[in-house]
Amino acid sequence: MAYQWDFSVVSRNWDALLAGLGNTLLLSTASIATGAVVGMVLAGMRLSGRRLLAWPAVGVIEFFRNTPALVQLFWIFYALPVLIGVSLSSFVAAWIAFSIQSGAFFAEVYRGGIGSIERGQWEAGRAVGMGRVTLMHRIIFPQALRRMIPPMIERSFEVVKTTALAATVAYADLLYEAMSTISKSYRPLEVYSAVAAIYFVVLFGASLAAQSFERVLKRRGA
Amino acid sequence: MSYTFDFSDVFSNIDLLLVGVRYTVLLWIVAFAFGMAVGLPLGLARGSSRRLLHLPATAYVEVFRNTPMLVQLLWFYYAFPTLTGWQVPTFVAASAGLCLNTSAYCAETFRAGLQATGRGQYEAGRALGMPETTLLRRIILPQAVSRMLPAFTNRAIELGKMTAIASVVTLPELMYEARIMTSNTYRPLEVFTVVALIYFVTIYPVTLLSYWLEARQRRSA
Amino acid sequence: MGVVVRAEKLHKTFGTLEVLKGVDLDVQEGERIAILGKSGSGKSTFLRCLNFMEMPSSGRVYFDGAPVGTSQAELCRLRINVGMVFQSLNLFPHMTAMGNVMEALVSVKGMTKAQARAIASEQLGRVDMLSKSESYPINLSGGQQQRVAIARALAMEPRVLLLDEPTSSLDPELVGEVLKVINALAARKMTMVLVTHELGFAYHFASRVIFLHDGRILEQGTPDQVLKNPAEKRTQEFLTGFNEFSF
Repeated sequence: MAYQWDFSVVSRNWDALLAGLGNTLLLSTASIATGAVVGMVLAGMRLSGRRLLAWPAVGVIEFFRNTPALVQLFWIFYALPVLIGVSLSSFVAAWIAFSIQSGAFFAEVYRGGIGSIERGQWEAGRAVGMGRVTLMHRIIFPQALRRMIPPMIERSFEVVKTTALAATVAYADLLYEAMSTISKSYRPLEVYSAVAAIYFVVLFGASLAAQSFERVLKRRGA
Repeated sequence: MSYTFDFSDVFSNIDLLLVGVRYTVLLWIVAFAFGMAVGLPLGLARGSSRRLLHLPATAYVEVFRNTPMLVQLLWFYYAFPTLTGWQVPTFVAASAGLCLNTSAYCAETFRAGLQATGRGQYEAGRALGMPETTLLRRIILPQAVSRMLPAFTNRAIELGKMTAIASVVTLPELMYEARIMTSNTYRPLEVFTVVALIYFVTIYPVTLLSYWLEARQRRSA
Repeated sequence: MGVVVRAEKLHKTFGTLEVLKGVDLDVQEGERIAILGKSGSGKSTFLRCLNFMEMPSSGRVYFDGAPVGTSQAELCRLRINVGMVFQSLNLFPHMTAMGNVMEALVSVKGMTKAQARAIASEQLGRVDMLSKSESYPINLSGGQQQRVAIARALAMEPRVLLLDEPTSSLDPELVGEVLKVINALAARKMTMVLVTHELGFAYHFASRVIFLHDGRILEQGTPDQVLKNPAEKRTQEFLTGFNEFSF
């Protein structure tokens, strides 16, 4: 097959693609940061020991972990405005959807981390008269945090990949810019290949950085 | 809030959604079966000490794990035909895309599971004169499978959710039917609520299975 | 009596560490060879080179006079004829004792299950494990597991049996039952090569004792020669502190 490759379409639209990448990273960062907080709230509710708090948290966590992100995004972009009477921009809709979704996953990471701390640590804290909050804050959480970091990082990469779905509601991320470039140039092969390469460089580079960061943590005895 | 729910449009067309569910489940099963089948040799190559096997397998795994599924799918649907001149049917493109992605993750599970089986087991098999394939089939895999089961179940869950992405390339699975129904009925709230629930009841049993497997593994550890 | 296995100028290096520095050995039919040496002398590595559990870095292994190549088919053929018993037991945990012994008879030798079961029963009987034949390894003691492992190796009807410190991972009270089984094999004129730390056992068991030091054969001969009147200083040092009464 003598296909004539022509990557000039990529270089001609480089600025648009780069702007798209910027928006991808913006949406990713916003969703991860908000998701980390949402996750903490959900985990706190789930671990509170009170049914009235724990059950709704379990419901949210399980629902968002067991339905496609695309469905969640569409529900918030198309359905939620009907319910609340306010239309949402594609950025806000994607931000909400991916924050709750990643929050549901983060909550399980927190819970796993806290659950992995041996019972002796809780008992030792209680034995010196610490209250529940102090115990959590001073003893349990600092130890759990180090065990949570690797799965947190892994989950964050998943969020970056998930943000590509926002292109389907016309958020001007990297993939969306690629699609509009293709609709003008009819060069899907070059553009999608280039876009895949950009995602790869960003994510693989970040995962290499994360690996060396985890090695540093390990050497410090985490 | 004064919105009045009206599910009558959804329920009068529920058969459309059920046809979509059939495609979703078919896509899920086909992509998972092939993903596992491709993942095994890939995982073996990944764990191999021969560079000629190890490096390409590693590249494959890293590429598919470090790019969005949607981009992979679009590449297969729009770019692949340009390159090969072969206009693949939507179902083939969608299941191939999901299968390749799944195989990359399964490869890592296979590699880890096979490496976790002690060297002594490999040696005991070889010392009895077993060829490598017999060794793998009779001795190593049967031991590794139960260890790998939770990871495979999690992969199945992720894949189940990913099938919704196939709607973007117009495969008439559940999410695609939902989008069509929304544009016909102007009832996005009802349609997407019902569809989200359908996905949930389809996928959640597998999640419950994974909880059970993980608990069983913790007990035996 | 002919030479069954011959090792010629075997060398083995791990990275920059040269573990074997040219070892030659002829194993005669019916011989019982005990290989002794300090840990790190290369004795286990040498044994493992004889059936290619380790690939020798250079040198040759001959079986029945013919050099053994490194293709998978040739290695499998060699290993059917040269059985091995491991220090770490290595029973297949997902199979019963019976399953362990039957496995290679079916999957390597292509026997029917009935044929394999008959042979496995006979071999398990010889190591006095027939009553436990349906037990899984996890429910067997270390000594019982090692007896099953010996039955598993013998079921293949090897011409030579290699034993790599077969008792050193066992609790002291379980060593005796395994040594008894090995003695019974000796009585049946099984050709064996044994790596061991049990000098007392080696003395009674072996027809020839080999002392390995720093990757080379330093001294060899009858048990009386090597263990009671060693010629080499290193061998004497190795044997000091070893109580003569235990022979």
